[in-house]
Amino acid sequence: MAFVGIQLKRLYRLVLLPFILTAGVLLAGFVLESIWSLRRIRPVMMVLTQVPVIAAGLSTAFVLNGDPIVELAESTPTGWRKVQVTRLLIITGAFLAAAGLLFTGLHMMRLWPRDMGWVSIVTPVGSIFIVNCLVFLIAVLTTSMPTSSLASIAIWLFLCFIWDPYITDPVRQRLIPLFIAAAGAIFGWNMCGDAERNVVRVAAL
Amino acid sequence: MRILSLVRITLLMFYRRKALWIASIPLALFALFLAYASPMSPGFSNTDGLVFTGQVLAMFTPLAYAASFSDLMTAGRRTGMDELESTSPLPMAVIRSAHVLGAWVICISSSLLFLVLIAVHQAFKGNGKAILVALAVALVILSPSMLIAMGISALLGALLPTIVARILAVLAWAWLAFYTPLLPLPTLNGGPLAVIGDPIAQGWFHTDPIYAPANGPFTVQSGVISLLWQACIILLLFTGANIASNHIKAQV
Amino acid sequence: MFISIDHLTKDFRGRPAALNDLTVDLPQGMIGLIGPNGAGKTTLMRILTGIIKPTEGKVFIDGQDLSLPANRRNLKRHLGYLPQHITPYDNLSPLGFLDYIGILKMIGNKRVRQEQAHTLLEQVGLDDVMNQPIGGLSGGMRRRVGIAQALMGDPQLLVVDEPTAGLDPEERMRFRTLLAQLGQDRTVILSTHILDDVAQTCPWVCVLRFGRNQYDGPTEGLIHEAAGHTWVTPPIAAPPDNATIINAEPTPQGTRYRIVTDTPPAGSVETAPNLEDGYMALASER
Repeated sequence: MAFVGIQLKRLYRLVLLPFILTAGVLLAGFVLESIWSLRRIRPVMMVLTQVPVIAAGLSTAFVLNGDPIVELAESTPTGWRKVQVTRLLIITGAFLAAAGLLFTGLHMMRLWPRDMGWVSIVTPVGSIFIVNCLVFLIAVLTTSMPTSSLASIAIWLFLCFIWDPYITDPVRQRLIPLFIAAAGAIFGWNMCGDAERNVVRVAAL
Repeated sequence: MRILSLVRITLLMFYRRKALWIASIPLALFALFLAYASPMSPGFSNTDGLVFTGQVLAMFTPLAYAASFSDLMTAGRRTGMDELESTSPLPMAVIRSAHVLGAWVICISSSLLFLVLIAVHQAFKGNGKAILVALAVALVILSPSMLIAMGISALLGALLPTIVARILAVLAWAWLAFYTPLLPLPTLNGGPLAVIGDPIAQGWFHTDPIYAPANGPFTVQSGVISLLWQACIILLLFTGANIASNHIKAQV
Repeated sequence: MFISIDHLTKDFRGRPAALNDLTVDLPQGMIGLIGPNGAGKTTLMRILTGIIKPTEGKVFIDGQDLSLPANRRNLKRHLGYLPQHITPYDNLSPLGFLDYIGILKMIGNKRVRQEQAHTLLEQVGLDDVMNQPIGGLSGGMRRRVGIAQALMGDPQLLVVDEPTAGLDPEERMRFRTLLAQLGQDRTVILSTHILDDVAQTCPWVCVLRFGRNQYDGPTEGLIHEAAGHTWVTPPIAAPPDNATIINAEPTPQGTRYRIVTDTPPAGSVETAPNLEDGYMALASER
C-alpha cells in the first residue's frame, strides 16, 4: 500500500485533472443547457466529451516516460515494471472514474451525444481503457514522450473519426478494440519485464 | 555555410528519431482514410482530390503534432544541451530555427509521401500537373498548418507545465481546425484568417472550401493574405516560444 | 558477501563484447574496480546488481547463482546501488526521495524509513536541506542524495559507480571515510577513475581492460607492479621516450617527470611506487 501511496503522492495533480475536466464539461453543459437549444449543444458536447479521452492518453504518455531513475528502480526488489504498471493503473483508474461521472452527469441532463441509455457508458470508459493500454505499449516500445503523445492522438483519431462513426452499437464498438488493446498491454507488460532492455534504452536516449 | 551544416546535422538528429517517423505514418494514413471516406471527398483522381486530401491532412495530423512538440524549445534545458548551445557563436534563434526545421521535416514527410504517391498515380492517368500540385499543396497548405500547431505546442510548452501544455495545444488546434462557424462563438474558419488552407484552396486551386466562406468566395488575394497571415502567426509563435524559454532559463 | 564471477561474457548487439570471459573472485570488504573507459566496469556492475543478464557465464554471490530469478530478487533486498548517472526527482525533497527509494526497497514500516532517511542525510551532510526540493540543490548535493539513497535499507552489498565525481575535496574525503566504515562489515564495490580514492579505501582491487580481468588481488600487489620501474627524471627539455609519464612538474631548469619505464634517462632517481604507477605499469604491459 505504501508503494501505491507514494506513486499517488507523485501523481496527485494528474489524478485530479480528469475530475477537474469532468467538472468543467458538466458546468459547460449546465450553462449551455439554459441558453442554447439541444441541437446547438450536441456538436459542442461531441467535442467536449472527447477532451477526457485526449487528456487520458496524453497524461499516460507523460506519466510513463522520462523517469530518470529507471536503473535505480531496476536494482530494487520492486523493479521498473511494477512502478510503470502502478502508475498506469492509477492514471487509468482516475480517468475511468471521472469518465463514469461525466457520463452520468450528461446522461441525466440528456446531453450525452448518441445516448442509447446506460449502455452508452462503455463508449467513454472503453475509449480511455483502449487509449491508455495502447499508450502503455507504445511507451514501453519507444520510451519517448513525444512519440507516445503523438501515438495517443493517433489512436484517439482512429477511434473517434474512423472506428466509432462506422460501428455505432456501443458494445460492438468497444469489444474488438478492447481485445486488441488488452493484448497490446499484455505484450507491453512482458516487454517491460526485461530489465536489461529498460536500462539500455533509457541509457541510450 | 555554417547554418547549412547546422540544418544538416539537425535533420540527421531528427531523422534518427525512428519512433517518431513510425508513429507519424499511421497518423497520415488515418487522415488519408478520412479524406477518402468523407462525404465531401472529391476522390483521389483529380487536382481537387489532391487539394482536399492536403487540407484534411492539414486539419488532422497537426492534432498529434500539437501534442508532441511541447518540449521543442525546452528539451535542451533538461539535457543541458542549451547551455552548450548558448556558448556557440551562432545566435540561439538560428539554432532553434534549425531544430524547428528538423522537426518540420519529420512531420511533413509522411504526409508528403502519400500526397506524392497519389499525384504519381494521377500523373500516370494523364494529370501532368499532379506532382507539382502535390508539392504546392504540401508547401502552402500543409506546412503552415503543421508549423502553427508545432508553434502553439512549443509556446505553451515553454510557458506551462508539459502535460497542461500538451492538452491545451491539442484543444487550441481542435478549435482552429474544427470549430464550425455555424455555432455562435468566434472562429477563424469561414474567413480569410483560417489556418486550414480554405482561402488558398479556393483562391489558388479553385476547389470547394471545407467551411463555406462568410463573405463570398475566396479570391487569389484571399490566398495571399491567408499565407502572409499564417507566416506571421508562425513567426510570432516561435519567437514567443524562444523568448519564453530564454526567460525561463534565465530564471532557473 | 563473497562474489565469484565465472567466465562471464556480455555481448551487446552490434558492439564489441563488453565483458569477455571474465573470471574473478571478490572477497568481502572494499573492492576497487578500475580500468579505462569502455573496459566493462558499468556492465559488470549492472550484472552484479541483477539489472542485466550475462550472455554467457555465471555470477555467484555467497554461493547463490544469480542466473536464477529467485536469487536475483533475494540479492536486491540486500543491495545498494548508485548508478553513474542519476538525477533524483527534482520536485521531491531529499527526505521524500529517500522515502521513495525505501519503499522500492520494500522497507514496509514508514517510521523505519523516515529514521533511516534522517540518519543517512545527516551522514552525508544534507540535514539542513532535507526538506527542500532537490531541484534547488547544487550538483554536489544531488550527488550526495544519490549516495544516501544507495545506503537505504542497510545493504550488505553496495555497488557504487563513480560516487565522488562532482564532489568537492572535503565531501570526497567525508564520503571516502563513510565508505571505508561501511566496508568493514559488508562488500562495497567502488568503481572510479580517481585512483587516490581506491588507494585510500580499498584493500582489494580489480583492473578490467577490454572486458577482461587484467589484475585482481591486494592493492599492494598492484602497486608492486611498478616496483623497480618508477623513476623521477632530472629537469629535462623534452619528455623521455619509451616511458609512461605519470606526472610532470615544471621547474626553472626544465620539466621533472615521474615515469614508469625499464630504461630511465640518465640521472633519474628510482622512487617508491604508488597505485597510479602500478596501474600505469600494468597498462603498459598489455
